[in-house]
Amino acid sequence: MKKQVKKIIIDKKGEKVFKFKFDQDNSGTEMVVIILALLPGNYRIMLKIDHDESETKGKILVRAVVGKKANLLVDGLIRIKKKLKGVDSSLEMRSLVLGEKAKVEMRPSLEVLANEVRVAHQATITRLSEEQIFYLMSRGLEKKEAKRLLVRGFLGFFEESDEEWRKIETCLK
Amino acid sequence: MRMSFVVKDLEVKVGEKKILKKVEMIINRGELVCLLGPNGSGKSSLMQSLMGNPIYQVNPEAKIKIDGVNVSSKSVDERVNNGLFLVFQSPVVIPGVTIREVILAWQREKKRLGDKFLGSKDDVWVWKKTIEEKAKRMGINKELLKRGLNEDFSGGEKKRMELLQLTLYEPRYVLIDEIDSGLDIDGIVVAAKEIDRLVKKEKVGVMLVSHSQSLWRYLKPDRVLVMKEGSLVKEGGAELINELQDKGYEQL
Amino acid sequence: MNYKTKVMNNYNLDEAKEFDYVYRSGRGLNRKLVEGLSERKNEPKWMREFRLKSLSFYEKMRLPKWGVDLSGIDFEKIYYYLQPVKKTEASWEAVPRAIKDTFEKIGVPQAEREILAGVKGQFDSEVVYSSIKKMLSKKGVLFLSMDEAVVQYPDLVKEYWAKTVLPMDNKLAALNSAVWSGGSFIYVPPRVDVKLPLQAYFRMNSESAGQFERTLIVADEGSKLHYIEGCSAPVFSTASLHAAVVEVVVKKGAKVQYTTVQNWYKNVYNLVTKRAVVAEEGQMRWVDGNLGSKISMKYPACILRGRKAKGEMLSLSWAGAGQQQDTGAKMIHVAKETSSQIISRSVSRDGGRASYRGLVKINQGAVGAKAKVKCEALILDDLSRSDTYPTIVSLEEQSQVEHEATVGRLGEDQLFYLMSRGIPLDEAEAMIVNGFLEPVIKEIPLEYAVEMNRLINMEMEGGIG
Repeated sequence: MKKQVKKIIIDKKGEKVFKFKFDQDNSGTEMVVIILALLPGNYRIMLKIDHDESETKGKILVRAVVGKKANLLVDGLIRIKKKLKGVDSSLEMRSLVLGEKAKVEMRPSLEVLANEVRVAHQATITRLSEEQIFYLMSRGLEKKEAKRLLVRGFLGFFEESDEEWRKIETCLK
Repeated sequence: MRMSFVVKDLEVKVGEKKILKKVEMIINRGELVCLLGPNGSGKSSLMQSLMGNPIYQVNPEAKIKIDGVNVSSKSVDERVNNGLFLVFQSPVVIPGVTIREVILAWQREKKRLGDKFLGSKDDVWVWKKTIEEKAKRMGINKELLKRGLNEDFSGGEKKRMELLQLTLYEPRYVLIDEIDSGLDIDGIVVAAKEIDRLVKKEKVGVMLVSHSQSLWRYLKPDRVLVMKEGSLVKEGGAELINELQDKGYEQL
Repeated sequence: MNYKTKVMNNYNLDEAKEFDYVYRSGRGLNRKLVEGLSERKNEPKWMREFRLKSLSFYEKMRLPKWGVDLSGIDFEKIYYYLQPVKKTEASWEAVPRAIKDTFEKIGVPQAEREILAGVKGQFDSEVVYSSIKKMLSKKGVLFLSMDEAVVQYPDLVKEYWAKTVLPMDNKLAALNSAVWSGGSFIYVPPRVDVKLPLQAYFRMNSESAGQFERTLIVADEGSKLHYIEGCSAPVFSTASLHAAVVEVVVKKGAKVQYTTVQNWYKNVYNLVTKRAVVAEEGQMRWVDGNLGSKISMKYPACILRGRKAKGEMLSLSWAGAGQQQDTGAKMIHVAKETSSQIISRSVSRDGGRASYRGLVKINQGAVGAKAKVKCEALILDDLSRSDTYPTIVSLEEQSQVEHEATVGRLGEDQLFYLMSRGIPLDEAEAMIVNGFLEPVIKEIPLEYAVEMNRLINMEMEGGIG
């Protein structure tokens, strides 16, 4: 099973619904959803994940950066129907809060009706670690640069454009 | 009849892929057989399928005889009660289940079967003491006996726990899949002493896989079998170890 | 069957009269019934008024839309069940065979069997009780049935009554608030450590588990308490709706553990509201073992109101044939440096359904708050089902929330390993399941824990009934 990685980037307010169906063709694909909730306002993302066929593997990674006064809701549901076998499905949602008065709500849900499967999800809400910032600064990096590296590391292999980085930067103090 | 562990006409598949082709071998009681071969040659698969791991599909014609009794259609636990034991290369973690619980469950099963087989100690308290004493001999911290099997154990601790179980089960034939990887020198000496005792004193038949130089410094095998690409390709005496050490597996 | 006759035979005349009236009135709850209930118990005026106010909330509110489908409950028939549940079944012979067999297998002594099965109303433990009573009164600890406490210590009770769970919280809390009866009241004075775990059946004159029990525990500053209710042996009940309310007040530096082991027979709807308010440096721990009932809905909650308050919830759920365990927890972080942990383990089998429903909320201002949730579920066959519906909300930048959940079946490699140690397949499965539930079982006192292990082994063998 070849590993494909597909990316979706969301940086606009409002409600968005994404449906993922895993079958023999796309089994093994890793979907990365990057959410830049940087402006004050509401961001609502709904993810619906289904496995249509047995022996399929799916992985969804959500990485969200949340700015000052932004209000983010991520709702993800993995549903495994009866009689499916050999399904391996995981959903990982991580939010990095960069501003005050932000609100983050995550609802990772699972409905599993088959038993020869392995389903998992993880959700975390964190902020930049002072310890890590200090460490990078003690390696000669300026504070802003240290934060940039950490946010970069958090988002994974996301190569932000200058414009996107500027938006993120406005959230870093 | 000389008591032995006999394997005939063994072919093993995983899914559509053939892993082992026409394997035939014998381990006699009181004999130490060394199994060598390059990575991927099928050594672990051979041992796991002899023990009955359901991942491996064994052909119906295969014969696996323990002292004359064919166990090829018997379940895994039945094979244990017929005197076969497997020491795992990478023992799995079983959270919340301690070694004492495992031993007691096995004893209950044997009692239920009428205790026709090896092992006579069936008193709970006697077992507790026995486990503790043997654990001490193996250099296992008492604290580990209370934990779930292999839960947060280091590599060396896992191997010692396997050895401990080996001494508690008193089998007739043992398949050892790399006991030494992860063990320090002290551990290797303990393992070698125990294996030597089993072979010479208890007359257990042992087949042992090991890549390590150190183990063979303390043990001398009676025979050496070599595997390559799922088949047994060569058989010889202890000198074969050094020969392979010098020339490698390519020449076979 | 002539229900009226059967029930009448078991009551004394006064209660029979009351029941007669109710039976004839033919409709659900009403003011007169609630007033009569309060009068019979000699309650102070404020309690009567509280009940009546709660009744009007109950009448106006609707059942929650989320969660389990509760449309099967016939609320019109509730008045039948106002009488103490356990007195309804007068003879041991009438208790279902399956329950008797279970007691036999797990070695429960005969005297206890009858109490647990609801045949006897009281635990005849004069000797045990009086020595406990002596020990407690020396320390100034109050431990009475809720009914007695309202009459004997009205001011103390009033101070804390319904401040943690308000009657309008949900429809079932409103119902309980109107018709509650039985339950425990415990007050632990400052810095007292009640070393012995207190159990419901230590109370004299207690009606054993009623349907609408109300428990209030107040642990004053620096005190320590462990309270246990329920039992792991299956309990038969003719009433099919149980709606209890438990309120726990944990004051500064106090430590409370509340353990519930529930194994109601499979005809019971078990809908419970449990909540604790935790003050500065206080610690609250809920330990829940859910084995029985047809449908259980319980989400023990901790409101972490004081700095460095700690909340913990450990739960295990077993969902067998025809069962739905809808359980979870709520942790609300209000103050700074608060921490919470939720550990949930469930097993579904034979068509059972186990669902986790949880809420972790970090309010703005709860700087330094940390929350962790770990749910693990085993589905043992393809008839069964497991769900997880967590919500995590953070309104405070300087906080951390972690949540993880996994659903799967028994590991093939674990089964092979145990079998290669001479253990047959079905026993290996039972061992792994018990090992899986162990982190929660070990927090439950030994006698219960042993019973639970045995029960789980039996369930794995082929179900209890």
